[in-house]
Amino acid sequence: MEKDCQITCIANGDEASFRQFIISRYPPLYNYAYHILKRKELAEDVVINVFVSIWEMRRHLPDIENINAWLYRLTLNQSISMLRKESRWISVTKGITDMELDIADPGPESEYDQETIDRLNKAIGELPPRCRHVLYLAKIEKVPYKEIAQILGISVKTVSNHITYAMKRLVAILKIFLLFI
Amino acid sequence: MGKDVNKIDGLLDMCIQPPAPDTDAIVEKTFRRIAARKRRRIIVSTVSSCVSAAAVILLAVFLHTHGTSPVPGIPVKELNTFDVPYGATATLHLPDGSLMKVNAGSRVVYPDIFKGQERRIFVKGEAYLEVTRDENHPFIVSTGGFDVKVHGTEFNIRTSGEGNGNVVLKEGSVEVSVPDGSGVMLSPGQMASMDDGLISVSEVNTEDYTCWTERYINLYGETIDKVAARLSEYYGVDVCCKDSTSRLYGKLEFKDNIRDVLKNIGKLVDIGITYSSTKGYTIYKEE
Repeated sequence: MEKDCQITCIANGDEASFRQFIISRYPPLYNYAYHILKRKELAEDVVINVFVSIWEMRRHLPDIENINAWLYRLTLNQSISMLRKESRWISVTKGITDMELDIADPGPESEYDQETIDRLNKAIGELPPRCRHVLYLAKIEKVPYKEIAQILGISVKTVSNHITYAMKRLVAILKIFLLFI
Repeated sequence: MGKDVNKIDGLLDMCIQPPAPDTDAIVEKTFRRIAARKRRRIIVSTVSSCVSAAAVILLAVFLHTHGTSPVPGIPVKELNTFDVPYGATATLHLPDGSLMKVNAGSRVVYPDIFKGQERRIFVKGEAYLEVTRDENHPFIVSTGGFDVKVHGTEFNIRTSGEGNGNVVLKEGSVEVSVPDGSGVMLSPGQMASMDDGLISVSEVNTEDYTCWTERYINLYGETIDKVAARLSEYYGVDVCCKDSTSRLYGKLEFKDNIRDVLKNIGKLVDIGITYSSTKGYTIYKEE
């Protein structure tokens, strides 16, 4: 309910609500853009542009069915066009074709050590790019399957297939290692 | 199997994202960008609603399509952007000692220091350049549409519309080239005009094209709507001209305030001027 109120306020041009909106939505969108672009300043630029376009079309915000999925979708689209643009200026084209996702450091309370995380990262790196992308959204960003389907323009069934496949592969790759944890 | 899947799930659950950078700064940047875009949109609407001050369209188009680095090969963080406000001209000293006079509403993007084989800058709008001679490091002005390669010289450059514009050479020599690879060498007193990728060369009175640096323009019977378009571009104010027949002659001084300039025009021809905060100035013929 509180969220609906925030959206209505933004739609009416309330800057304070929009500030709150940016503060709460920026971290996940930034991380998402960063995983695609691999460069901090580009990721920041993309997400700021997403917010700018939201502000410019704020009147239509209440009509959007699922704001969360839509925000991810905007970020994805802008990140991809940023990659296209960047490739014109910058000779380093590494990471453009695949969307390599890493898993960040474990929290300070973590019972797992760095080695565990490194192994997991390596295993995730062996997954197909699309599969990694879905895994990242579902498991790290905790986006519901239905929203992932909307973001990537695929069916919920496909999302669930990707996750099943990813988990199966990870179990297979980490099989021996899993015995010790 | 199921147990292993749970272990993987547990592992993934433990992973957190790196802390997001300072969100307050992001909020500020977002609002600044919104304000900047608002400004740009007003300019564009000036053009579409009234006069064809085509130059400003390029700025919007350029920033939109090339939002990253306008100067090829140089990272954004090593570039400076020099924006001249409306109603004023400004002088810019480049790191190699070259001097630029930049017209109102124009933009120059240049690096902190010139590295590598060429000295390359980006110009949108109008600028007059006095380039320091350095045979080993050619000076290149990019506009997004055409390039000007300079061999130590003084010249005026003006962009209008996407890829269009002109270059007037006062001293020395420059080479103007368009993306398809064709180009011309200019001699002093010549002007190269770019129109949809085609270059034509003509002899001109260079003073007519550089006098804006002294804040005046020479008029040889230009119609008043063309002059209004130029004023709109210079002062960044909407000027709608309903009179396209009256012609203006003589020297028109660009005062600090557009109102004074319009008043002076009113002394030359019979016009009425109205002002509204939403539509800007409207000029109509007084019968």
